[in-house]
Amino acid sequence: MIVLVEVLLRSIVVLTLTALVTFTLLWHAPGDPAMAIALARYDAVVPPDVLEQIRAQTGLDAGYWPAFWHWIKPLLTGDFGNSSVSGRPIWPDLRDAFGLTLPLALAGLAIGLLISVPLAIYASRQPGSWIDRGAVAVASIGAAMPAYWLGLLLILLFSVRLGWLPAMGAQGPTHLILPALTLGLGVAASLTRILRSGLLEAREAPFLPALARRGVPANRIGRDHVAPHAAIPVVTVLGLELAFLLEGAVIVEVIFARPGLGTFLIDAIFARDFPKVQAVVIVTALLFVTVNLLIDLVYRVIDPRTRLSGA
Amino acid sequence: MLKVKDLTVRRGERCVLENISLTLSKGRTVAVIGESGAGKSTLVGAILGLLPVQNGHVSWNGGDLRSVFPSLVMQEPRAAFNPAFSLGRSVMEPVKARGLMLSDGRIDRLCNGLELDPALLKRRPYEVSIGQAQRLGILRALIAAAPLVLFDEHLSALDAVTQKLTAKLIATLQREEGFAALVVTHDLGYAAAHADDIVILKKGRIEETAPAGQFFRAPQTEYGRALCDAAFALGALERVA
Repeated sequence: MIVLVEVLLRSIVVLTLTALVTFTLLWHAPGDPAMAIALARYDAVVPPDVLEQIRAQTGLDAGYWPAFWHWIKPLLTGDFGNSSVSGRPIWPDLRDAFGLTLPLALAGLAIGLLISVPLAIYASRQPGSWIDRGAVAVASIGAAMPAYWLGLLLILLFSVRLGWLPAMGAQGPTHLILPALTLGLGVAASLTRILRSGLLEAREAPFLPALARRGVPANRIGRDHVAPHAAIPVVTVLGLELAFLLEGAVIVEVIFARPGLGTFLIDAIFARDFPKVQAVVIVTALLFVTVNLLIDLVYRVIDPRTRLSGA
Repeated sequence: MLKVKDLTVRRGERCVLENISLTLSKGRTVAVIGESGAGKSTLVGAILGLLPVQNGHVSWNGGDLRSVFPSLVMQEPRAAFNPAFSLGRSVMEPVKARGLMLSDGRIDRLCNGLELDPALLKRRPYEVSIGQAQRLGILRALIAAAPLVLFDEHLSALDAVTQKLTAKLIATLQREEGFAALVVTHDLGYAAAHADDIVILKKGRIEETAPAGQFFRAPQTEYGRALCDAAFALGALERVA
């Protein structure tokens, strides 16, 4: 119970700081925000009195703290407000954008797991073998390769050279393949390394060798002893993987010209649409806090030692 | 009968065990004695096939030792258990995995003899004392009634009274069930009281091997005499002669 309260308080602090930092960064970004909004709205340079009007509407004229309050107050009741460019409510558009990004992120995660789990298990069975070395090398290269470069390489190969898959848009399932692969290969790279070392460490456990002599079959040893131990670091990094997936999805969406959270966010930033940017950041931060809370709980189940020290 | 023939284990250039041969019959106990680093635990691991062996072989009644599921009490009491498992789950794991049926009251009888509160079985290895973990390791080794039990310094973390009670339970069970016991120990008093045969190990080789009575009456090697003298001086042994 005390743990739960502590976690909730920590979440509130994280969310508040996130809101404050984003707001401050946008506030101090170079250029006149009112001008940027006017350009996005009317696609033309506007006279000074219109700029004044925009400032008054968006709370920009009142100064830093009142403007912050102007934005945060409705948010506290769950109201994301309206776009300062189009005037439309933000939430329905944001929800649609998430709806497009989520399948991409999940497909990326699935590809990452499908590649990394068998590869890591196979590599860790024969540490030092050429398969193991190969897996580690591929994982290192994969982790060092930025998504935007990998994405372009995949487009070059599968869309331009071979013409097998579409390079842009989000019309059908085939449009998901290349972006998901771009994301998934990055996830696979980091997960393979972590899972491999987790498995190697788990196989080193002093109580393991004697289990087979006691008559415990190898598949049971793998399932009951090795796998849960190796899963601990993987569960820990899943939170970080989520960060990678969302960040990666934003970049990948821009490369593949897919509508979604990425394009939603980039458009909002260029238009200085404060409320929209803030909404994306807050929802993402909320997602993070929730996922990390869940990971914390899973961790307590698979590793009872944290339960002891955490309680 | 356990038969170990010409067992040799090398680690790199170093010979950790060299041409070890010994036999151990049903119902009998051999004590393996020697200084730290003499290769005693390596011998236990090599007999069980837990580490690579360069030469020699191990058999049980002429067949594969592994097929009779020998039991082991590991030297490190806590490290012998998976920390994520309750001790009861660890103790019962081999029994369940092999589908063995335990006789009524066997767990209670063993817990009683080892002075273990059965409630400890619900705890995890880091929630009990080292002495308790050591006795739970003995419980796990004895529960399945294996024909061969290897004890690697199985009393090292116990106080004198508990040592005595534990040794008594092991001896009683051994009389009833007739298992063969290989005991690695530094405790010459224990070896004198419970072992039928003594194997003195030094730098990976057998220095001396003899029936226990004969060894303690008249050790044949200088190292054997030194060991006995030290034990007499400490009061761990009473002069037999």
